[in-house]
Amino acid sequence: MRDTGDCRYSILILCLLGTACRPAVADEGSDAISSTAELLPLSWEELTELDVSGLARRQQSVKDSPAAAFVITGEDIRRSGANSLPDVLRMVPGMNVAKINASNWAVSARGFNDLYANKLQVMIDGRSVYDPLISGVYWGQQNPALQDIERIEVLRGPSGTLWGANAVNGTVNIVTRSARDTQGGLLYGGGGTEERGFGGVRYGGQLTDGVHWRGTLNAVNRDASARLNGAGDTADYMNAQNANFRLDGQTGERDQWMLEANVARYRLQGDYIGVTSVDPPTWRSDDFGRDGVTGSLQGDWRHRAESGHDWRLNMAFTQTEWTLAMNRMSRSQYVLDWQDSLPSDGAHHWLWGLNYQMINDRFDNTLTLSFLPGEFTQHNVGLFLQDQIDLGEDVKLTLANRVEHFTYTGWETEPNARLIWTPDRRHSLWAAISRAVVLPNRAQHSIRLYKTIPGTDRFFEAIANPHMLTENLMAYELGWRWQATDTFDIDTALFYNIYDRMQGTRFTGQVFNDPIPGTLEATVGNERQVKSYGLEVSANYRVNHDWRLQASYSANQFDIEYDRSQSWLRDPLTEQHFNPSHQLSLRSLFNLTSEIELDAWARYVDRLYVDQREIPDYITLDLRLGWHPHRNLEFSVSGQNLLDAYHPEFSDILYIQSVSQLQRGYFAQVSWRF
Amino acid sequence: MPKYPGGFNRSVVGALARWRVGWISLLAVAAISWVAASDSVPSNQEYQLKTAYLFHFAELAEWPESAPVNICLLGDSPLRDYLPVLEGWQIDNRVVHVSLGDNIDNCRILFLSDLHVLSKAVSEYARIRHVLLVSDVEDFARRGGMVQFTLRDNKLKLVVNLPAVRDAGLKLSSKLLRMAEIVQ
Repeated sequence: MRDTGDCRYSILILCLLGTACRPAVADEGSDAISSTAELLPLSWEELTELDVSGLARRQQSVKDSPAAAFVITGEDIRRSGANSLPDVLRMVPGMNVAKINASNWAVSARGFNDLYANKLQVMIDGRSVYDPLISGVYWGQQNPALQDIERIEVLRGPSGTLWGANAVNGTVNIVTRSARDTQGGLLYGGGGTEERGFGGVRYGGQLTDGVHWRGTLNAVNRDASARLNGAGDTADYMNAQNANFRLDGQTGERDQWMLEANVARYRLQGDYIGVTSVDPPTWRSDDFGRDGVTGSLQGDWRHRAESGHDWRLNMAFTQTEWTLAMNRMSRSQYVLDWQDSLPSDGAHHWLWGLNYQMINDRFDNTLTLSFLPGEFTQHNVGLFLQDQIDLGEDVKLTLANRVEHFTYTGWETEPNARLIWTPDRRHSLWAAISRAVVLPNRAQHSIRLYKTIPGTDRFFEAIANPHMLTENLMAYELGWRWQATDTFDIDTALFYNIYDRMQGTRFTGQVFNDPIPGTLEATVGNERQVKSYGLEVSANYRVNHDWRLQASYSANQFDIEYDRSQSWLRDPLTEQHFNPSHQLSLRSLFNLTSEIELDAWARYVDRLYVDQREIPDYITLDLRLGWHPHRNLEFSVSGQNLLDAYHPEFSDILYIQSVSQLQRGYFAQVSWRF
Repeated sequence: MPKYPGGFNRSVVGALARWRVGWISLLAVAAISWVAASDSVPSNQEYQLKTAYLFHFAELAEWPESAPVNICLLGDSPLRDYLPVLEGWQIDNRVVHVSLGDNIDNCRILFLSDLHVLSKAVSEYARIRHVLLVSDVEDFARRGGMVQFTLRDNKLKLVVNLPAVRDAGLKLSSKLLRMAEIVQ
């Protein structure tokens, strides 16, 4: 009965990473937080989140993992006043989050941010939600009820050994609450100026002894964002509905399982690309929004064998159907993941696993956007092996490798070595060297995009490159965690990354007269080398039980090599220009009384240069006032982006014609448990 | 038909090299061997957590009149080893004192190790003197206790007997009640 289905991913992450899977050493003094005195400065909310058994304690686990890890708790989400997943991720040091319009975000870690950011693995309960078409996430399609989220675990830096290709700059694992933890009812709703209306209902019950269920229905409706000149809006309204059903079961002492079904419907509007006719060439900037449905079914089974083996089977099936004005897609994805953690053999802790993924998609092609071949199936297979070795009382080494075969690129290997040294209970130092790969995606492999060159009236045809190779990363990381006092801790990470064979889109010099005379050919290839380095710091200060401060800062620099004699479709200095050099986030969580909460969140983001346009640096402030008149009732009012009427955060005029600006917004919310 | 430019051709040599790197690193993982001893004792912080909870109760409960925060323990519980840590800490600018003896005069929070310690006399004393009665034995709240610790899903939860709390002239904050199961 130790942990529920959704605890296991944190255990898995940390097992894979190293030390945390090892039981904490029984010696009280060596465990930074287990001694009673160190629990006392925690707030009531933090305390009630802690697990009794040290094995699954994420606070300790994060502190012990030899990687740049950050955990957003359900309480952090509730008090952030944020209403969408990307907005919540803004509190993580090293994460880049920029809202492009009401339904599109650019989200990445350690730079490389873009609408099509392709170096982040994102999972909900272990099911990957990144889209294999672009190797990124369409965040507008992901609108789970935030109340169902128990925590979000974010690993910056490569974890390809754990999660395969594309877990290059980071991994985000969204863990939803188990059915057992969400018994009874919850009704919530609210609305305001930008978050026009949102709400949901959840109910959970017990099926039989040890088997619990819960179902959630929720909906969101967002207002359009402002035009660049502030006059009028860009008509990028969105609405989405979600239905989620989950079963959690415990069969005997040794078996645990979880079944989850999810259906999401989304309607994202806005001024997207579209060429309606070639004769005469007609360009129309109109609502070419996306209308789609995604359904998924997933199962997870964990068994502890008497022999000491701990194995886990995870299966997921996802079906996605969406329609754009100029394109339609239907896709099925199957994922099978198996792993076996061996009983400890002295100083060695072995873990190995197998995974298989099948992706089958079909496109109805049009002139503006097509994929050739229109139907395609990929099969990707991987094998990984890890040994975590105790080199001494306070030094642990983790060696691991994953070998994977991809339909597009053949065999790849993603090894890593991690070392953690915990000289005393206040300090831990870690270092890691890893290799990770980014797979060429379906779009790079088979796209034909036909449209005007931004800023001109000439047309180009972007043509895919079936010979695209993986982008390869060699990453060097250093980290230091310091529990300075019982109430103050600081976590620092440094990285130096070398990315080889980075994608670039250049004009080939070919000119076609079909379908429109003078159309230039552009193609994607492994054209550039990028080096990046940076620093991430997060600090926590518990002033007292009623007041907690959290700060994070990150700095990021790029060094890019490319052929200057070529003519490029997009900025060859994308990374350098698209990513802020400095970011700062400051949060204050303050209990005015035990019934009234006042929360503030300020952020600074350095300027960007996107689509030949400067996006100025900005400072924002969000405020939230929450009131609990009764133990089952909560009212809150939130204000977002309070410091200006509107500001832009990003742009992608290749796909989204109008540059949008984020507006100041207010909303009120009520939630009732029954 | 798509017009494919030259692109990159992967050579056989390159493919072999990638294979080799993969297997060499797999072998390297397999080959490294070290000997060190380590015991596998899962750490359990049940009583540390209970102690911290008791500390917070001093803040989350409201007494009719202000008085020093005295936390007492009656009976034999493992908590005896942890509770003294609270001595001298401050909460709401009030100093916490811990008493482990049989003298339960002036207690604000009284932890009972067992159901049989919850005698009529203790209940009556708690009601008149505004003492918050806490325990971790099963059925404590149902049998007239006030706040009971229980374990669920590896987390510490509370069962609260609200009428008993009210009878003692105490008020628990909604923050505490939010995570508690209420028995009437």
